[in-house]
Amino acid sequence: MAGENEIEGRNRDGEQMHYSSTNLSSDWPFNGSNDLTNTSMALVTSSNPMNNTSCSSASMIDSFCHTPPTIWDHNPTNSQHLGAFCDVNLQNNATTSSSALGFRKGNHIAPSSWSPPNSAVKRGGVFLPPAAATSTMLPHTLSQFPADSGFIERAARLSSFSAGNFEDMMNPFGNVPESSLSPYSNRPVQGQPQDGFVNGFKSTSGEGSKDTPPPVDYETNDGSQPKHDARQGGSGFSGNNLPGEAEYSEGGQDETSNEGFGSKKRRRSDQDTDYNQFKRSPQTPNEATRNNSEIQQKGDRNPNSIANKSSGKHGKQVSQSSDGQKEEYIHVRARRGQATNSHSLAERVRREKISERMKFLQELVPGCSKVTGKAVMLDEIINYVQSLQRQVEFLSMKLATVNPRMDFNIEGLIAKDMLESRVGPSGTLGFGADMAMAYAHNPSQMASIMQGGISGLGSSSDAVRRTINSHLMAVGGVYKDPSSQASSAWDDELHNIVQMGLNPSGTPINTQNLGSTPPSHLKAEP
Amino acid sequence: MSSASQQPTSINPIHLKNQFALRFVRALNTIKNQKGSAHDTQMHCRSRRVKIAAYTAMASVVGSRRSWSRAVLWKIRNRSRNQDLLRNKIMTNHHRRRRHAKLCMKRRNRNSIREDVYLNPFRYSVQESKLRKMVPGGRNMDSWCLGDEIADYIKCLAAQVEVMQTLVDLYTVT
Repeated sequence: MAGENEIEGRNRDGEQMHYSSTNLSSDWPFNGSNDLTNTSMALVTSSNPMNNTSCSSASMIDSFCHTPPTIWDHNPTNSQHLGAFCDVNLQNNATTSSSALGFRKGNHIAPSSWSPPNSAVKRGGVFLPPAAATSTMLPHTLSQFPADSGFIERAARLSSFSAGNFEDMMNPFGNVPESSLSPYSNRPVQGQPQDGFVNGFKSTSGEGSKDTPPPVDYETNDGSQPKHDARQGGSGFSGNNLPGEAEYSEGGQDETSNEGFGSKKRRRSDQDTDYNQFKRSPQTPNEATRNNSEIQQKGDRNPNSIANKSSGKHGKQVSQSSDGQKEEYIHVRARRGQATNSHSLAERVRREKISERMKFLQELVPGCSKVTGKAVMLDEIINYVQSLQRQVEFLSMKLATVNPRMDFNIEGLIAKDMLESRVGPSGTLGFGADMAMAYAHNPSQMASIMQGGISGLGSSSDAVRRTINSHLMAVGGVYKDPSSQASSAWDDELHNIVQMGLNPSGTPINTQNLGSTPPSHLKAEP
Repeated sequence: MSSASQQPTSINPIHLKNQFALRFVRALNTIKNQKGSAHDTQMHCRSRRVKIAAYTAMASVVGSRRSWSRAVLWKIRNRSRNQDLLRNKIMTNHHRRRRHAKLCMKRRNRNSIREDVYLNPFRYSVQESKLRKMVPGGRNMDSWCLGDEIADYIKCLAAQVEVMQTLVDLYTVT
């Protein structure tokens, strides 16, 4: 059965796709966003049948880690100057808008400026520049920061503190509630005014706002959480990769267990993740890269944890739950210099992918253009697919009842007629000419054909009807009824065959194409 | 089919429909010629066969490019293989039963394991689980892959329905 061959071919194709995908992944930062989605799709789809998700991701990471330095080479040099760095990031936004993770909304600022501010955290008083820079950048990039003013004032407030005493600084705000750690949470924080500075950041939705550096820096040293004190004990801004990542994985496991709608649990585990994430913040970009690769590898193990953490900035519960529903094994590349933001990075990438897919589905499903929201969209899609499947059943039933006298010999007829009609000039061509014809015709006819959705097929049905009529009348005449039209169509076909020469394309019979092309060809060339 | 995969997307709908129509009609011919007179076999058996033929034709047009088409083809191949095994007269009844039971067990285990994964309400929404059940091969995919497959599946399903509708119209009119 043809299916067998295809399935075996599929295995081979899958392997090839897998290996080619690794090559593609290295081109990620340089491709457009479309290519990105394609490659990501290819990567994911190839990884699925291969069941080599870890392998592919590791190879992806390996191949990819070489590329970020080329993009972000200039970034570490500017790491000393946060403002400059932020500007650079903004430029990078423009230039590398199609960077690895398809950041299109211009929120590069946050992830790319993650680590440098963290390294600059050691110097006191550097927070005002980033705050100011981010504030100036905010209008450009982060339109979804409704709490800009609050953000700025809290950043200013925080900037007055010395860098080295963040743990102590956080302690006065000791009653930082569990939920307050995550920035941009819309959840009403058990708001003490002292926590305002943290809450200010959280007042924005968790969409992308969690990426701004200052709150991360502040929360980095939140030793106030009793749970974390034991673990974090005075590490401060030291870039503890190992404990951080150990906690990361633990937090990840917490995440997986707390996935879903348990808000309190999520808060706690998210704070774990936030804390771990912020622990890693003061690392250099190199470490960040390594961390990213490690994070990605861990992410492969705990994909949901990553997605949860990235989404678990305590955005709205609704958005979080919907994100949780969509979280799955996504292999994300973090750009160099975005150490602890891999979660938000991943989350942003996923959101963009999903929204892209949603848009595409909206186009496919009729009547879905007005629908907003994933849940409703999914419902519509489900209904549509169910209705299509029911239609197939119904139509198959009808076809089964078709009078068997009415031959299903359409394709045979068409093939025979096609061959008969072109015995002369194309006797030797066989199906090669047919296929070449069909393929050459299709592009030219696309414009005319695609005007009506079924026009192409309708023409084929006309051809089918003609063949049936001819068959019923007599075998001798080919297209006697629509004689002039058909004959001219055939003439055109023959003419085209002569023009195009021989292009044997390896596909099987396209006689149906030929049946459809003459009339549609007529439409194209009146 | 390799050239079909390299074709730009804009050409695909027409090409898809044509290819599908061709294969489907061929399959219909095969069904018609299979068991002598069509009136012998049950109505719903024939309609089921036609339905399977339709899905198989569409899946074969898409080929191995898509996970859902691979799943469809694999399912059908397995089903035919199982049926052949079951109908194989060489095998004794005992063997047949054991083989069948083993296959069913494997399938059941596979289903149960996967079902736990994708029916978990904490991981996937209800709609997503439903979608996974409806789209062939949607069990083992992540959310984004699933969305991609759904898009392609919807496109092909719509084309399939159109072709079948045209055929039905053709044959009921004339």
